[in-house]
Amino acid sequence: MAVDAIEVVKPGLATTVQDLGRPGFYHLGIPLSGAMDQFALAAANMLVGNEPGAAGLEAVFMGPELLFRADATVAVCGAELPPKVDGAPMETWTSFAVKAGQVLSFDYLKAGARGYIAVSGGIDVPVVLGSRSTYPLGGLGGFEGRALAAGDKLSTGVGAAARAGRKLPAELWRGPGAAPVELRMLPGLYWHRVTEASGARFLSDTWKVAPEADRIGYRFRGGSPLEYVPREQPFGAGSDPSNIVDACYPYGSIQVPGGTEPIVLHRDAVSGGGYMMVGTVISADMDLIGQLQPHMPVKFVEVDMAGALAARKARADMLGRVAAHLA
Amino acid sequence: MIYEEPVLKPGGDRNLLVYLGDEMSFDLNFLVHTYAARIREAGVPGLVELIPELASLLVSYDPDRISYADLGRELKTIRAGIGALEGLELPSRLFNVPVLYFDPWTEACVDDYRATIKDKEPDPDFLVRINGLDDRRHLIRVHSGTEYWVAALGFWPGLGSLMPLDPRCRLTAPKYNPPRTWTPKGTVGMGGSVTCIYPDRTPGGYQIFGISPMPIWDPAQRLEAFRDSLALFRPGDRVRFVPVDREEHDAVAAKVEEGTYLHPEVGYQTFSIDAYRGWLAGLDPARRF
Repeated sequence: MAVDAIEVVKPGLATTVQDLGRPGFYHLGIPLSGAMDQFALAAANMLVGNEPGAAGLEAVFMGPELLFRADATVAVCGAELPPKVDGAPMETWTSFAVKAGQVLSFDYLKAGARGYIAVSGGIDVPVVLGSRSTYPLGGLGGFEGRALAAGDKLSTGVGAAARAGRKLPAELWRGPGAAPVELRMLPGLYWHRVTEASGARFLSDTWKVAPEADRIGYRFRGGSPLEYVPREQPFGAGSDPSNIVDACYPYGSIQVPGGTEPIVLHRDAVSGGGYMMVGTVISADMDLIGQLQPHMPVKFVEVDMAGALAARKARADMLGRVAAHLA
Repeated sequence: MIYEEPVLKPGGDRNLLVYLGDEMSFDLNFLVHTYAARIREAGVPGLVELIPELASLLVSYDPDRISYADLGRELKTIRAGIGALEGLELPSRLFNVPVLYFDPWTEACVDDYRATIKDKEPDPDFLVRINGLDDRRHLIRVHSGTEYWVAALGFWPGLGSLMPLDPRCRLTAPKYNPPRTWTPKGTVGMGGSVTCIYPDRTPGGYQIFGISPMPIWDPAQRLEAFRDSLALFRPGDRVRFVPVDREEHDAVAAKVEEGTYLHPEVGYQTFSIDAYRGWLAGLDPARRF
């Protein structure tokens, strides 16, 4: 363990400590939290010799500037957020050494939205409810329950650092790919409330990521408003046809407040409420949402349960190939 | 409406939503929590978490251990085993929650909102008017005159949706439009026919009219009541609001600050739906507080 191994010189926009999250407390209203792009965090961890679920840093749109007080191996995966050590460019999806006294900084974002910075030993913050992830809205977990600020000192855990220069080939990088990005969704939940024609338009329209896109949820704009199968609103549901009797919002569920702008709920989602949901983005594609920039065109593509499970397996297999490549 | 058969829908490849009906009602919610308890007892393989809500229940599961179809079959069998509500009981703790009604903090919050939304009537007066009450003191009597049922937790960590158990104390209120950007921690509010206590300083949309110094959410687990859970309430608990004056409010707040506050709680009770229905049958709905 290295106490105060990393000093935050500049925090970036909203850099938080994240691991794979905190499942099991949704029934108290505590969201999953954890990396938005879980694949990228796991890959970065494996590159530096950590367990895939070790805590790393999630930097959104802009990287932090970090002064290392101890030697470490570092890798950056996910967004194309080019790392630099004392100003010398390093590659993403590749492990590199940062010596005590050196500064890790980043060039401007080239593609994607979130870069995952893994440090050998992992970021050591207290485990809260089984996870080191930060839930900033609830002030829970991570570094003092908040995004990093200048002057913060992060400790790292124990663990043998992998050597520098380990590299993942491009076929093992995972990202949203070319526009329009396809997000596969399983219709369900309240899909039956939408007319067939309206459901078809939802799937054929091209949507654009709205500027209101964060760890709670990604909002989309530009498609047709929903049309509903007529019904008398049940007691306890609001008067708008997009309202329902309060229900739990699963991770990935697509709610459509007012029937106009779909929101895909992500890692820091509210656990429930009174907006109808048309379905759920499949678990394999949730990583991709974490890499979407505002204004990016997106299409929702219908899959069935078998398709969702096949995609889940394909993602797990790809992570397995990352592990095998680095073994 | 309570459905004869539960309706099952996928919530992606790791969650299944079970609807037991489609309305906000005590009977349906009591059924939801009974069902959640039965599912837990049944030890269904691959179950990750159960999240009961007003009329439905989200079942989070591991698709590597159980398929959607098999889980659905298990859930239908468990529902069929419950039958009618008669004779059912649930463990239910009773919490007495001190409230300073019409306190300066929520008043300041409402004033702040009204600085932008000029035609917003102050929340207490609005509630009095639309519910046909005599005055603000009448609002206190009605709001504190009943036990509330913790129907669900969620939206925000530790936030409970509270339903009045005495039908004579039902109040209704539309939500703020647009919502508030902030609400003081401990604020008591209502929207639709649901009352809540804001666990923390958060945005919000309920009409607000009081504050409780008694924490219901403690991520640092400083106070004894939070030793086993960060959230004070569990679904199926009951809450009674106890009006207090400023002096009593400050005394409680001081003990909370010190870390020595003991939450008043009655922890040995069960809630019998038969006893509740018997009590309801004896009420004269025409007599109000």
